[in-house]
Amino acid sequence: MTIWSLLDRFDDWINPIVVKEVRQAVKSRLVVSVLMVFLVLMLVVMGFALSFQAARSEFGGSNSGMGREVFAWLQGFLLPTIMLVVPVYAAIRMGAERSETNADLLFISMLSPSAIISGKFVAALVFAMLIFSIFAPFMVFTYLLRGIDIPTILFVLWMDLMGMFAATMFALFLASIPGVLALRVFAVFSGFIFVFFCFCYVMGGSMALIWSPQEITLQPEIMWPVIGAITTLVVANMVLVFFYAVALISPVTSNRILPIRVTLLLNWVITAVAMFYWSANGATMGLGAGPSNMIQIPIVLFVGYNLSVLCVQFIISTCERDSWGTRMTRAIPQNILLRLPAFLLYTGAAGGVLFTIGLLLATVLLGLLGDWLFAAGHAHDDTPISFTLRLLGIIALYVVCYGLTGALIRYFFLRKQLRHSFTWVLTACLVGVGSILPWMFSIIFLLDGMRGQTVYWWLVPNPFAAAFEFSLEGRAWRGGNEAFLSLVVLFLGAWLVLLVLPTLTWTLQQMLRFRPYKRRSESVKSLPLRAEVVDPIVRTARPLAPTAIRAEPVPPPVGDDPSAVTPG
Amino acid sequence: MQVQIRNLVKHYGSTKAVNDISFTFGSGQIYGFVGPNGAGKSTTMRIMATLDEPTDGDVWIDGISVVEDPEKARQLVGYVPDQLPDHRDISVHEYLDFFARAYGLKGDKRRRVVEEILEFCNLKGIQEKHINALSKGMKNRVSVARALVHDPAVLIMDEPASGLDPRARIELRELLKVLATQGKAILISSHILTELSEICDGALFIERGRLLKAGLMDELLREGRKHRTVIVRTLNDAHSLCKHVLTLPFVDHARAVDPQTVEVDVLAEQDPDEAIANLLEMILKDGFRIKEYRPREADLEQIFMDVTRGEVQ
Repeated sequence: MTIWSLLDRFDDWINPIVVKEVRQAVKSRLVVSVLMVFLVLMLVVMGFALSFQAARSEFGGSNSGMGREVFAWLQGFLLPTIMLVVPVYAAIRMGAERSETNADLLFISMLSPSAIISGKFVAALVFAMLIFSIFAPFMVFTYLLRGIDIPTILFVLWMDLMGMFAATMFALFLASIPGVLALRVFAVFSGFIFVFFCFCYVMGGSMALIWSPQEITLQPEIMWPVIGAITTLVVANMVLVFFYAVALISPVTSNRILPIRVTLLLNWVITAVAMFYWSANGATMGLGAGPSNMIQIPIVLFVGYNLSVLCVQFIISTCERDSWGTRMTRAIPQNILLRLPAFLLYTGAAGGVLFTIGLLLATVLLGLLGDWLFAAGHAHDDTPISFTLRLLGIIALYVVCYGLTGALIRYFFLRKQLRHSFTWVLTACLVGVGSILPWMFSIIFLLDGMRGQTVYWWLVPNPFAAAFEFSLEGRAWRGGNEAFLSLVVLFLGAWLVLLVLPTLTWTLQQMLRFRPYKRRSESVKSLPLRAEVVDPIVRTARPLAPTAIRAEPVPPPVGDDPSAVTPG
Repeated sequence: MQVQIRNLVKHYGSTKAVNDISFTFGSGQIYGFVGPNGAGKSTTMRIMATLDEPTDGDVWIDGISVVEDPEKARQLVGYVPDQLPDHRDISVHEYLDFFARAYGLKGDKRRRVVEEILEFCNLKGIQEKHINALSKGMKNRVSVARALVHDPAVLIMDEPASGLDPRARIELRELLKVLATQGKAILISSHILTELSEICDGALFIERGRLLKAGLMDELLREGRKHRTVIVRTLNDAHSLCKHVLTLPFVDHARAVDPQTVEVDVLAEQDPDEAIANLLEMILKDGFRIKEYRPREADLEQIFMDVTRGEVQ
């Protein structure tokens, strides 16, 4: 096999989207200009640094921190570029593809939605690598200027990479959101603010590392668990966001939630195993020995990450379909034993709600187990784990109550007026009403009675107020706090009890509809072979001319008679 | 190879975009899909191209269901949407190469197919030009070339001739004829009915999601019309002739086009030729002097006007 045939095979193996995107990028004047500007910028920074170093030496100054200073400058240019510019570029490229016609053309090709998203992601990475290739020689050079060590450089670059991966995938997800322009602009704007906050954290962290007073020598027993934990969470989130993006560009009739549910389940298992292992081996993995707050951090990460993600997933589940088309029903297993897990994992509102509630409960239970295992000898009752469980648990309860109420109202009363995908709008309205209406009522009718009240009962349906109160719990900032919190728990408990019966009805009806596809071959065979013209004006039915139709039976659907299928 | 559309139904909420449509066409045939805006043409075509799922019914392409086996069906369908490609920084050759890759063509075969398509669609001379720099006619040719890259048996074209200049239209027409002779089944929607009548073997009329009329072009033009139009030029006053013919029982409508010309719509539900001959006889009998008497040839436009009501949903 010659080198050319190997290259040819490699060329065939590359995702077509990557080939197209890279071709477009290297031809784009904008991209080439940006790369040239960076190259010039690096040369200018390095030129100034060397001149400054020479001048400082001339006047007897110290140059021991020059490498660190230059590295900080380079980081100041690199991070915004790869964490903000590259994701925005990827999002614009994805948005252009998302325009009606282009997307249609992609979808009727043999490219799967996952190939499209992964192609866009890899193309963005290639673009980022082009930028890295400009920065890399200059960054390496800073080591020679002294003041910064190799582990710090590598650690900062790892942070940059993690930030870029996560931001790019998130940007692709935002660019995949369908709908009206206003909604898309709002989503992209909100997403950009979120990415900007993440960028600030990464920038702050990297600068803290670079500018710490002494040269940093990261201890392996601390560095590797931290790198492992953050990489696990970033990768878990990236995979999840990847499948969300894939689902957004997949046909609505397809079973597009299945990979998301499987990923959620895998993420849950992997984070549980990884974080419990880290806490259990905290003494040798940088968390210190004995019952300390440090040893609880992995469990807090596990509970915090999973409860947050599952709350979002719960709202998404309430917006899923409650009946299934032919394409979906074809995937439903005939075996009744396999149908129950399929109901939980396949696209469908009730299945999604059950699945998410199950994982929420499992997370809380595992969190309680972690609290019992790793905070048993803790000096205070309010451990980091129990605090996280209480705060996020109460938020999850609000999400379940409001989300489920929204889904049930739409299903039982507004099914024709509101599409299932807009259930979240109804839920948001309910949250708005629940937060504002009791408060307004109390202002108008009970103003005098409000004075001197210690339990602000009118704030009970307000999830933001309750979350705020719960975040302050244990600090006893005012009397009545505990009574309010008890009232919140009582209120949510009563609400859940009220929801049980309609939820069961809702779930049961969907379960009964969740049946495998029944082939319609018999009815198809009996169809007449003519064009049925139903004319409300002429009121006559006229068959197509005999030459247009061959008098052959309609071939049965695929699978019934393989000889009838002659593709190509 | 046959394309069979059976009892196709597509609802968007309470709107019935496609309402129980059934028709069949086969290899080597070009069928025109005619209807007012919002009639359900694009929805039907999108279902055929596997981009939408029907609420009920199905489409079989060479025996493969687009509902049950969309991936297999896709290999048999080339879809030309109503919007033309508008990519930046990509040449015609790269664009076609990308879609050849997207359809799974590999190595030498891919390169050969792209070259053949460029040659066939007469795009060789502009293969290095960027897509967004092309004229509408050229973009249209690129769009057709893209749809042909995987050699589909069926070509579905949604308004391919809209906005094209006369030369581009003629070129497109010739291209479609060649494709039909190669055995491709072509369904084409267009508002330019004169064009359709020149290239199509058959036509389908659709309004408010319902199929109103369907058949081979010759038959459609020959039959099923409510009236025939006759152009009468007289040496007398056109208005008096107009008033006179309106008193005749078999005349549906008459209008004076200019001082000497009258257009008369003759009811032609029984025997159109007989009615036309009767009209001439009556006019001459009543003393009008005629210098030209010409029945207008039937065309798709007139059938379209007869069949549809211009209703939208």
